[in-house]
Amino acid sequence: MWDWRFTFLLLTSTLISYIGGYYLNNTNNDNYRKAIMRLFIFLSLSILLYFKYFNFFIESAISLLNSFGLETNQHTLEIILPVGISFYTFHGISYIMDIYYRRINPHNDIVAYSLFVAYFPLLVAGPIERASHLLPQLDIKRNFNLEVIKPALSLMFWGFFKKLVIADSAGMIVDDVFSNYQNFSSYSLIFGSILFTFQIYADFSGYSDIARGVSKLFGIELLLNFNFPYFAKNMQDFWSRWHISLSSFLNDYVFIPIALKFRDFGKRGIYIAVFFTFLISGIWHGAGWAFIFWGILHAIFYLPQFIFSNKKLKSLVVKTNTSTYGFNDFVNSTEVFLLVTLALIFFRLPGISDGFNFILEITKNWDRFSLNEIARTTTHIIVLTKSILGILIVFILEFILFKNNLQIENLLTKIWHYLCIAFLIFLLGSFENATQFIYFQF
Amino acid sequence: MKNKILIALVFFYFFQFAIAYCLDYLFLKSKIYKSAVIFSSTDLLKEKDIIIMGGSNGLVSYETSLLENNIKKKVYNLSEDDTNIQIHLLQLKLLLKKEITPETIILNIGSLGSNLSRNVLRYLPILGKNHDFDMLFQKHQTFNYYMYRIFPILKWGMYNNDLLYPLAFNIIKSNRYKHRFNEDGEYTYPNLKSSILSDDYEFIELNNENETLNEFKILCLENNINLIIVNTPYYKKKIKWNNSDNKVKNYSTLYANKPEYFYDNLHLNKIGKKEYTKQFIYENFSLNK
Repeated sequence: MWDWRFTFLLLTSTLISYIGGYYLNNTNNDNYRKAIMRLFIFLSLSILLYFKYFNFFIESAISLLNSFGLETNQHTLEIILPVGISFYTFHGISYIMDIYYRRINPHNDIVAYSLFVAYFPLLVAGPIERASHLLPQLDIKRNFNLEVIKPALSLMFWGFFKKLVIADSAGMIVDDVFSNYQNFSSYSLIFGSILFTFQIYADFSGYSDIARGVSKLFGIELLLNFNFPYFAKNMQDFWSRWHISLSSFLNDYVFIPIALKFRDFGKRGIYIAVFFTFLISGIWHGAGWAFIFWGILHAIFYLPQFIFSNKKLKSLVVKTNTSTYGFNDFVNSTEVFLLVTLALIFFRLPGISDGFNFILEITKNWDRFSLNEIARTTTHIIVLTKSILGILIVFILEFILFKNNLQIENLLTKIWHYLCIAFLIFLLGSFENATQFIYFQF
Repeated sequence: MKNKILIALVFFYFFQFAIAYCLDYLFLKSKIYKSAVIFSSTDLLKEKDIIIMGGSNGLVSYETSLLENNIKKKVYNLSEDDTNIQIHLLQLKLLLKKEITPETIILNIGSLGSNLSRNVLRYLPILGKNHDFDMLFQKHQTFNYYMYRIFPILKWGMYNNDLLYPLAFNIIKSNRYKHRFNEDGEYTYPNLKSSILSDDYEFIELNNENETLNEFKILCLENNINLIIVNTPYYKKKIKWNNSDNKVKNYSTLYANKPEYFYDNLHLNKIGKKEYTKQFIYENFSLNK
């Protein structure tokens, strides 16, 4: 939610990281620097913890005590989650960490620094920018250039297409299936889950594309956040392509430090680091056990390729070669896609028990099959057709880009390309079902 | 270069007008929604003695053939789901403009909201062509009104689910596609095996002094149309009228103990529809008394 009073929260968060950076730079004593880094990260995180996780911890503690037979009074606070808090907190943390690791010097200009923390295209749903990447761009003088309009428009049109054609159309069917999953057959539940996997990709990557396009208009390059994740050949490849700004952030600031800490434990130390990184990824997404379980599931899916092989895990995110994509790779991508879909069931539903119930319903209702379940009205048929058409268009184009190691701004370059996309949005967009971006809640 | 862009922009601006005009024209020639029926089936409606109006209650509660056979009058159901008194009044004005003055109007009222109901979008093809609709839409959705007047193609894009694709279906089905109604304008909810009825009792208060309802009554009076205001049966919901002039036929509690007559708490099913139509004929038309 947004409220003008949250401006002070944004200001406080900005000042904490700015002052932290200043003090880090004023000393060369390693122990002292480490203590400053920990203190200011703790201060930054405490705001996030209070606003995002306070009630979750209290409720969890109460239910734990109740399960032991100890009666407690439920006492939580009515805390509103401020918009963008997860993203601007991580911006601040990235600044402190980059100065601590001496990747950048502290910024003298507090206005430019504040712009980095609260840069509007990515404030509400990312990508999570690195201080070392974005801050230098804010320092240089930027002139408006007609040449940047083309790639900017490509990204924005493509983002709108994904959001309005796929995400908002699929969302109507997905909402139906997930909110009444007890009433659907196994086939419909599987279809609904797969559709949600496409919906969340279109929604989130669509936002990232729009944010990158808008930013390009200002002459600022944002990090690539999605790089055709559903063509990933394994889970490590998937995490190198999905929400890249978060996974690389977690790799640099969580996985590597933990892996170094536990290096004496050999492979087990690496597994602990993977587990904690995905746990934190789950917690970052939301204050709920379902998100935590989603993170744990990803750790479980991620680890086998290293446990059962001699491959060394040096980084959480390693991309594979795209030019040699054959049938075996397609089978592997399908396997990754299905694992991601399975984990997303828990991401989509409010509780872990709902997730298990959903899976139980899938196993139970194979005997009844009716297309009318999902396509029950004319509007549902239209919306379903639109989302399937949208998915086909996006994935055929993205496969071409993936195979040729290109991005959408390299493909859509002519005015008639934009007109075609605009026409397709007009024809296939679901404006009436338009919902806010899924990642706004984080 | 600048001139070329300017020419292209002007071309596209007028092109979108032309496309929207063609779509509006095709829509008003169709029978997709009741809004289109008023324009495309004017002659048919002129022949009707009784026109039923209302929201979804009106749409699903009357068996037209039963009414016609018993009272020997021609009936058409002009009710539309998800509409309220604002749209019903607009429909009446459109009928009068087309010189359609039935002997009787049965107006089914479920709510008297002052807001425009969602399905006003079904009237967007007449935007700019009918003063009454323009006034109504401008009053409630000022921004959209100007946006759709300046860029009429936007209404077709914005509501492509409800306007553009049904129109495309209609063209594919040789002008036979109708959205949830038959030749007589009615729709029937099935008799469900498992009930979706809620047992929570609810009172709905309606005010007879409603400005729009009064305008509706006056227009009927001025045009010698006999107006019957009706509340159709509900399950576990009771409508109470404030300032009632006792002219309203309130059947909201008629089948309070007959769950088998209902599809849900607000709508009759196939059995309930037949029983209610019989009861309605018995109470309002003297032929079979």
